[in-house]
Amino acid sequence: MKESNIPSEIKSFFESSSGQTLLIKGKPGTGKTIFAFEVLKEVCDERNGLYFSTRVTPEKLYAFFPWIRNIIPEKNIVNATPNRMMKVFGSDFEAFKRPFDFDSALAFFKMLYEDAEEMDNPVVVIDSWDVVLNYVNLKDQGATLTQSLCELCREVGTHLILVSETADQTPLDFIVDGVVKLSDVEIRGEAMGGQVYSEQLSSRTARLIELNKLRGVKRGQKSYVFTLHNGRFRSFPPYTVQTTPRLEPIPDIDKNHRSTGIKDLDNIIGGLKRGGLTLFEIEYGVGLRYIPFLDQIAMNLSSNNIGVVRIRSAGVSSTLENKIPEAMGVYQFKPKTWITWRLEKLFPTSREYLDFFEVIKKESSEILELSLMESRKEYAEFLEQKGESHPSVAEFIGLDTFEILYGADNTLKLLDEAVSRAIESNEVLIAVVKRGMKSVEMITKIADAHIIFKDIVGSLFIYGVQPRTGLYNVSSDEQGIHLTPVV
Amino acid sequence: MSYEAKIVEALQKSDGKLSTIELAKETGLPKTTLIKYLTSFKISGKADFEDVGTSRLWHLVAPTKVKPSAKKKELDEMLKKLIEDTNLLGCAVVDREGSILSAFLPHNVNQENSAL
Repeated sequence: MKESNIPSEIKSFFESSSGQTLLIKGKPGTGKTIFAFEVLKEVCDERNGLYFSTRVTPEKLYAFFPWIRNIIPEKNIVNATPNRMMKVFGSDFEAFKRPFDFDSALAFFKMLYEDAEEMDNPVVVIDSWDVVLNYVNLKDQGATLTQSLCELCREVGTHLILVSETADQTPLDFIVDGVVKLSDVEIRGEAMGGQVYSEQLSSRTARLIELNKLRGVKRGQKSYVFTLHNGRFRSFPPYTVQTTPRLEPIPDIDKNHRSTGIKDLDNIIGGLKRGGLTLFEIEYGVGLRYIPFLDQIAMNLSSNNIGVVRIRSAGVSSTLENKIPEAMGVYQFKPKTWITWRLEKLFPTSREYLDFFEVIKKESSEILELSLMESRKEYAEFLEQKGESHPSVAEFIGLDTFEILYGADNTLKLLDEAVSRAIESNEVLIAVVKRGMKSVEMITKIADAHIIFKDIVGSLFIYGVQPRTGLYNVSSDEQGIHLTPVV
Repeated sequence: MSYEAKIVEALQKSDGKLSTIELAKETGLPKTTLIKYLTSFKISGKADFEDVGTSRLWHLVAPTKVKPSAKKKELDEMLKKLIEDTNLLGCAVVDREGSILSAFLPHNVNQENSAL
């Protein structure tokens, strides 16, 4: 099935009945016109689009949006001028106190179709309706005229899209069958337990489409993030985890940087720095959806004959771990000495386990110290063993697990050791931290690259703090992970 | 057959029972073309529609004659006053044969072909 660029609810809305009327609202620059064209592309037959414009010439339109030419032929781009409007409604309508009835709507559509190509199923876009109403100096009667137009469209089965610069609710919202609102929103990092997190001071801009009203259509979700990348509207559906495919290995970018195995990510951050720390920070709500991202990185490294040793993050089940077989050179470190692995089997629920753990952390710190020493030794031996089969070994460390077990200070010590090993071996080091960890602030200061995973209305996004980048949507298919900029 | 003739023929056959969409099917004309013609017919008084439920059904209107009258000036004065007093959009005086003796109609209604 062909992938749709607009929310599926919008497509269902136009397919559910003929003569639907949709109001697209939003401030200037929020993407209303591009969205209207994208709707035309999805729901309109070839050469059956008509664009009544108050501001764009055909030359400009085709220059900005060449892909719309097959939908809206040149004759169907109608310039809205005050003279044209006066011809339809009369310049003296106020003196006559003429009501705007069905006849007015007929006259309006006659004017639209006057020089247009013949169309069996026209879809009409009026951009913008505010300006049209302004041309004929309509105040209170704007709603009456809109009502008449909508009635005519329902009567003759013609879809009508009205574009409005007014983002607030107006009487038009009650007249039309559907209302969507486009806006820019500031996306900020999350606070940590009441503390001001420095990243919160910076922000990224996302674009949001809100489905305020779609008569007769069940909304899967009320809003979607979208992009206008390459002059096209594209909304982002909820991210679904897919199995990481086997891909052609991507070689090192240069002598100092290994490829991430994700071309888009290489383009954004310039690859993984050898002898440096690449940090992935996972915000609340992301869950385990970041795992395939790390899997693709691990698989690319192993495809280049680099051993990969992973210490799992909290909550990553063995099912997920086992997706990449050890034969591929990606090894999960499951320490026998690690106290958590010993204890968790004794408790039926994670709550009981954590409660017990809190108690022993307070009362038996020497047990933890002993366990920590044993674990570090065991981990070092594991690394050495795997290093024998590979020219070098890259480490992927879930630091959240470590902080839960041994506290923030010991986590920083472990990371410091890992960084030293990475520098010594000139190999990449990848760490995962979760928002809410006490050691996050300090860890971010030693990272060469710092990427944040964020959930926005069900879709998965990343952005770089170091290097600073904009917001990117994460999607995946049989070609692996893709990143699309939100612009 | 011209587009206009096709529409007139379909309206004659239907006896005032066709909606715009049904007319498009009946005549085989593109929807946009049909709307242009129907609007012209409506403005010129050649055809009109009637609200039936949620639909508007189209029918032809017989042309109306304008008859010269010796009392036209007097009738015009009376109608003008009537419009001013009652705030009507328009009004006309028609004799028993359906001919117009005097009329003040909205600017988009052609007096000679208006359906009254």
